[in-house]
Amino acid sequence: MSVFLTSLLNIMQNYGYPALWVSIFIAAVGLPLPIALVLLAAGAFAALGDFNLVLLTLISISASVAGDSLGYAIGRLWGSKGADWLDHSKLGKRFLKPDSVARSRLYFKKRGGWAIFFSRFLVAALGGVVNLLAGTELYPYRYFLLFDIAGEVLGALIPLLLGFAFGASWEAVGDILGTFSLLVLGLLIVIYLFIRLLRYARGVQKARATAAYKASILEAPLQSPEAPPSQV
Amino acid sequence: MNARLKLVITGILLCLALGLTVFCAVQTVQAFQRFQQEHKLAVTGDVSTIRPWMTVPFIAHFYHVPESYLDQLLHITNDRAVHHLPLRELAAHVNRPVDGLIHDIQHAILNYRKHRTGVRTRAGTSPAPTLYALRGPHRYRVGAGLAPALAHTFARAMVHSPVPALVNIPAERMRA
Repeated sequence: MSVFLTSLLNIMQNYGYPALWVSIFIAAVGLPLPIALVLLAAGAFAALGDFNLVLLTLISISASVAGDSLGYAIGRLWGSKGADWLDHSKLGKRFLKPDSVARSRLYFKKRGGWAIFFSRFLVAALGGVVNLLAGTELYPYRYFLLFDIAGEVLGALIPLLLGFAFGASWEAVGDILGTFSLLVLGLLIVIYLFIRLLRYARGVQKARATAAYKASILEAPLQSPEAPPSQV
Repeated sequence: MNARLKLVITGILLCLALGLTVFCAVQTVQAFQRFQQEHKLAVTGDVSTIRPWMTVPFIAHFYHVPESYLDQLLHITNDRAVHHLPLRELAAHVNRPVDGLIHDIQHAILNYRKHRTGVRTRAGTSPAPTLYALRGPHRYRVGAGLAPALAHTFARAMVHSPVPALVNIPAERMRA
């Protein structure tokens, strides 16, 4: 276990719930703190009676939602301006097609909710980025909040209950959660790349078929012994 | 970019991602096995499971040793701030290496068990800090409600579920 995590646990033991709230809030904004491990430990200490599990859950959810909302606000205020600037600048026009930006916005509006939901507990490392992206893409706040709260409830309950259930073995449980999260991320990348590969393969196949068709049309008059009657 | 080139690059990336995914899958299974072995040791009250993040009250509760006994051993006063320090911080506080401190605590617990007849050890009983053995006030003060019941069910499923043995981690390595 890192010295950093021990220090966080020490702060949590000494200053209790307010310190935990601040740590979770900072992590939700985007700073890389090992909050899942802190929650696992908090669950373990709750089993001992040092903390109240219900209060821990409420504090965790409220701090996470507040931090995520701040991340969203930053994205909405500055990220969207930056995206607009990039959209109209020469540099942006050179590297980004206007229709691809519009397409990505539309795609995020359609599927962004699930990205917000799953990035709260399944791939927590992407949480901060997704918040900024949601703000930048002007995703409606009420939907953001809905998916965020739903995800954060699971994001708080899973480590707290596992810590509560397994007490002294919470570090090993943290290892499982960490590697499982990476596994899910890897699977998502594999699925995405597989779909892209299929599309490209279809594109190549289509291009080949078109080329063969064109070639057959070009070769057709040479092979026919008589010209069509209209051309005579 | 040429469509065929895109196809080749995507194929290479897919192979890399697949390799990474398989690696993560193996790591997850190994982490699960490590957890099962560590949990078994914890359930039996093995003192090798004492970790630098543990506090004195946690150790006292988990290994069924009176807090005052550990306080006396570590020369700790009743100051709450010191009392609730993790062992790593406590070692820094008393100016000692954390491994030495843990070693002393392990010996003290073993001595306590040896000299006190009728002390309830974990072997053959339910694990204490886990939900199985939260006896007395804790079970109802902290654990009442749906959430701990769910945790209990999940905990049982996780501990007793069979995992294919990809690697066998020796007990000595686990303790190390």
